[in-house]
Amino acid sequence: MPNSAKHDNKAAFDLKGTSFTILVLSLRKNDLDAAAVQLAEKVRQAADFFHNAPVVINLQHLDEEEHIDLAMLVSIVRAQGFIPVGITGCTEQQKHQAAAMELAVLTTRASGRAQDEETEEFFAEEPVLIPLPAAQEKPTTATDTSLILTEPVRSGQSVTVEQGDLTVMASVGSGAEITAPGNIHVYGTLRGRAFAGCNGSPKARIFCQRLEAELVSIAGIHLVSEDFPAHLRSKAVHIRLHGGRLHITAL
Amino acid sequence: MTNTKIIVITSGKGGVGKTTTSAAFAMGLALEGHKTAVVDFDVGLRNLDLIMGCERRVVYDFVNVINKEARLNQALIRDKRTENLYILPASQTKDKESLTMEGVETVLNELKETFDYIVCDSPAGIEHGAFMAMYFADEAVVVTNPEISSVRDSDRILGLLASKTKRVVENRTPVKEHLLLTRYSPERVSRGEMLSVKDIQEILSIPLLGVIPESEAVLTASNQGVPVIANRNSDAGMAYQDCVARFLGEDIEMRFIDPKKKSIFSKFFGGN
Repeated sequence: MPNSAKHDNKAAFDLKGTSFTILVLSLRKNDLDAAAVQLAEKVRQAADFFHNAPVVINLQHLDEEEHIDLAMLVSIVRAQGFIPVGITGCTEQQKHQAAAMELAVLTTRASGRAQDEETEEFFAEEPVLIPLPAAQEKPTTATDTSLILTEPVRSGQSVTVEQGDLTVMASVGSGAEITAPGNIHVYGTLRGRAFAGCNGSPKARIFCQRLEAELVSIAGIHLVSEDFPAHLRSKAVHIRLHGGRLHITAL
Repeated sequence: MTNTKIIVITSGKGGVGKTTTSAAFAMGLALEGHKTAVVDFDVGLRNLDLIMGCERRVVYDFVNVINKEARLNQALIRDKRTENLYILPASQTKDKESLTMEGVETVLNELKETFDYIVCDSPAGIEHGAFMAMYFADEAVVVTNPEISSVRDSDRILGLLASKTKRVVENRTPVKEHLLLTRYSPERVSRGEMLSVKDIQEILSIPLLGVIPESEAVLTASNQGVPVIANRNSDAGMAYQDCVARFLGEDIEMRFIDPKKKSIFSKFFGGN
């Protein structure tokens, strides 16, 4: 159900920022031969996961003065079946090189070096903005099986993720169930049941934009709607497990 | 016809007005000049023939056609009032399992050769009959009453429409969903006794096709076997006409969603 397309048949497209989980290859030393050998070995272990996977090359750990053969590095990465889409943590000069190779220069709040004032401002609202086809939205790596749902979870539906967090960018209907071993985020109204930390992790938390849930549970400790504090009903809240009890606090 | 649209009228919950809507909608499409067939999927509890006022002319039914005991044009009943409108009644004696996937598909394909619109009147529930009614649909009208149990059942049906229909299985664009609120009483909404249009839209988050007010005309129409849309002076009839026009792409403002303004006289005399 492509909601946006359905509601608005005037605009030919939407231009919006979205975060993607993406592989980052951080070069630890300026030894491209060694990097090539080790990368080939890594790919050999899980070729399917890495085939055509987009990757960002991070240069922030290398000495600024050192000359890095960026073209060579990109071709090594490409030869292993990755699709290099950008670089990060680079110097002014490397930025120009990247532009020449049609690679995006990415800035995260943590990737110090490239953050001159201009880029900081530009990326302030969307820390990661990577031009990727929409089909890449699903996690493509073994390291992250978190799931992001953009459509409502309807009554009677049950969504479970095996690993990581579950994020729902819409509402969860009354009579629906969502389950994750990690955290649960609902950027709509949570009306159904949410089970975070379903593998027993007491550190998991539940976040929702509007609490109207039937039941919330973390690591098997649950609270039913009746037990929610009245002043937090229909509010944006954060739920965590502390001292064997669930605590609901306003966001 | 290559452009035939199959529309399912569904709700999950019973008694919300699926058959009333199917009859009104099908007649509305026919009145606009579209060749329309309305098919009763409620095998065992058929009602559509009564609402359409053709119960005395039923010889063969949907299940007879599926079982090849009758040809489709023997079972189709032409509406006497409206050109372009045909009814395929359900069987009252068989059970819902008689609707086989292949059988239903064959009949719908045959209907597609002649008709512009095929309106499928779904049974209540989420069992086999409802599943068959929605499986081949291109568009769905989800009929909802302004009360929480109906809204939750509609939410459930929307989940099934998004996951269990042929369009989804074949990876085509999903079934286009429309929300139709029936038995709406703006006065009760304003007194806080009923969920408002806004509340329901917020929960279901699908586009609103229309709001049919709670109306005496509906029961009268049912008992007379005349689809309520044929009563052009009734509020419900007008509301259904608006819905059909919106469905066909016209931009029409919502009516019957605000409480009636009381006239000076009714204020003085308490009448309405």
